[in-house]
Amino acid sequence: MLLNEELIKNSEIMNFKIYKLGGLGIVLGLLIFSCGKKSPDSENPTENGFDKSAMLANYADNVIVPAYLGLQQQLSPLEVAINAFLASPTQANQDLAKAAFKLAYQKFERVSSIQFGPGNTYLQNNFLNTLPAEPENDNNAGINAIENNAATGNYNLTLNSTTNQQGFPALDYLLFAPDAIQKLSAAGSEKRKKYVQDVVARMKDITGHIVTDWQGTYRATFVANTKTDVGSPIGSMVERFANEMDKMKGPRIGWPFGKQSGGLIFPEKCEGYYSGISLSLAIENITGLKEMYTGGGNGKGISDYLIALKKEQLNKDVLKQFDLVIADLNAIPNPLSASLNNQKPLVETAYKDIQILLTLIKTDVASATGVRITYQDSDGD
Amino acid sequence: MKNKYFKHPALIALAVLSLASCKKDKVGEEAIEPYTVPATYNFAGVDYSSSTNRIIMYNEMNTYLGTVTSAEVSNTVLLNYWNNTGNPFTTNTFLNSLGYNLAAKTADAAVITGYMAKVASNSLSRTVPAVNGTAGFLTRVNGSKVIVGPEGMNYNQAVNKGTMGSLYFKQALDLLAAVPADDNNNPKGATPTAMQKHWDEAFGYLAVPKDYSPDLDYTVAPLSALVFPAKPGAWGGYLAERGKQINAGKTLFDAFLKGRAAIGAKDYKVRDEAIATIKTTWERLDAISALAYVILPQKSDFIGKKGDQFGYISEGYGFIIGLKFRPSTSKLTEANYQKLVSIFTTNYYTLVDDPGLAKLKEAESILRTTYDLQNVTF
Repeated sequence: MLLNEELIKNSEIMNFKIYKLGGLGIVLGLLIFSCGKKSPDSENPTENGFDKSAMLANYADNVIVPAYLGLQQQLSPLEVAINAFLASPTQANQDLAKAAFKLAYQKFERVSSIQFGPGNTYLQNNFLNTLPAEPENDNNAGINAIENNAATGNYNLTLNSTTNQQGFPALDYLLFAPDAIQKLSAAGSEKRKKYVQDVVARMKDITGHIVTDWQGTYRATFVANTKTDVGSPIGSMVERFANEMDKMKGPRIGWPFGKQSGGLIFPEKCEGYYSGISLSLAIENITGLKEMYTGGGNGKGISDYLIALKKEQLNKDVLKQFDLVIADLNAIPNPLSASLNNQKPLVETAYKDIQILLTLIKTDVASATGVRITYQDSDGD
Repeated sequence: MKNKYFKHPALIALAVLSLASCKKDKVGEEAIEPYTVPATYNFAGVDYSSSTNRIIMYNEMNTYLGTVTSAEVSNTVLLNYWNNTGNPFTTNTFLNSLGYNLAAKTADAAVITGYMAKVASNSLSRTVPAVNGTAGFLTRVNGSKVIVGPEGMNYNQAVNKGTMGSLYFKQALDLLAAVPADDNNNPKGATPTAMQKHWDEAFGYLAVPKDYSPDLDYTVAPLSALVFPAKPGAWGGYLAERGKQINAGKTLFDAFLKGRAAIGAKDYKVRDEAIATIKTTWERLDAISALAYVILPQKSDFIGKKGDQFGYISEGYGFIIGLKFRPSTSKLTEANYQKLVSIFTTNYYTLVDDPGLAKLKEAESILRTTYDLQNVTF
């Protein structure tokens, strides 16, 4: 087989390399190295005239920090509205709390794909948004733990094992489940109310740390590193784009839709199920991801980097697919939990287009930018 | 295909130099005839079927072990596979009449059979959600299930990776240790010599095909359709899966080729250099695999996801078992080895709630520092 011969020949060249001394070995090494696949020059801050450092500065200053500030700023009115609801658990106060909740949750969707750097250090997605369909919540583990916390007041939300007992999903349940008003009005609900406040306080605390770090030392580190290897800013961004799309395909849409359960549908596993805002969250998530991809649309985003790498068609395809997914999601009637059963063809269409966008990002964009996707690890055997 | 390096003028000069120096250093001994190192393991008389067949035996047992997520696993059946009693092999029936088994060549076999028994007993709880103190199942992010014991260990992995260390790795080390004293003469010209046979059997435990190349991706079509031994298995698979960053595939394969060729030419200096390379590299491959499974459970994608975390840490533990058999030249001190064992046998529910994941970080630090793996990423 020709391929075998080629590879054996290369292997011979490698053997050759071993047995040589010094200089020739280095020359040969360089020859072999330069014969390898052409990938973006990760060491060079400027590529084909494209300024990667300026791109990173654009991301930091015009996209990422504003997104975190937006979330931080919305958590304050959320806390106010929640406290009013807890003080007087009426339908009217619940509606006000729900409106503030929706706004804050939408702000979170804008930072959801930024789980690298400070977002990663403080485990923002783990603690603020472990989705109902993720494994931590199997067998009602999350809800059971939340009810236990509300009853006993015994919890430590800093522990890694409590990701399913806090954040937006916990608030969604505690504030907007069908019996929420009844439970918050009942005698002995002080522990439940304190628990809600502790959850909010923790969300503010984590968000505050992330903002502080981004406005502090992390920005300089981020902007200065124009490489694309694992852990680099560009590498992390592209990798997180793919991860976010995988979350959309999986726990956000696919798994509640039955894609991992042979068609068995789980409406209550939708993000924002109790407040009925699943679709608006999904649309905000994908819109936010598109903005991360374009870098805000001023010519200094990953999309523009791709053009500089002569991947104009890929960029067009990605942008088109983003718009398709957004349109598909917009076409599904609210609430998503009902449409999973009643509007299957529409959900199926969105699911298929999500899969296509996922592949474009995880395979084509990653390959074009020289980024290694590391989050999906196989078990080995 | 023959190595063409002797055609290059610089190398001819080098060869002359080494021959000359041979004559100088080894007065009274035979000079070594020039020999070629082939690019594939195609030596005359090669037979390492006993190594290969043991791996095939284990693979069948492993298929049975894998049914634990959906069916009860019987310890009796497992022991039949292990001991090759009662004609247990149904896919490769020729194994049943071979007269050898996994048990006899496994160091500290009672440890492995102990873990096998746990797989069997935990399989009775396979439909129960696992919690701290109760065996049962956990679900991973990719939807697959793991069955764990009351403290979170997935014993399938302890058996699987533990066998890789206690049998394949340890046997290879023992065989290579025997090699220097082996007879390397065949008066009737028959091959292989006793020394060559032991060398081949050690190579067999690396579980790569004769025409292995580190440049091939055996995980994608069409190579992925091949079945072991036509494609790598066990350690052979880990050359790519975890060993890429240390070039383990190329280093080990080349050392085995070189040493075998050297044996043929009675070039014992080169043979012994190859042995040293194999020992160090194989141990390092074990260590980097363990390291991967310490790093992965710390990643934010898996924090809070016990199925994944416990699955990974259990795999890591399996590789730590292998380090028990590390060569005497190993840089891993006994104190650090015991520290690793202690970390990997801590209750996993406790381990993943450790503030700052301090214990996992400690294990990571020991492995990175001892084996010079500071810059690897997973």
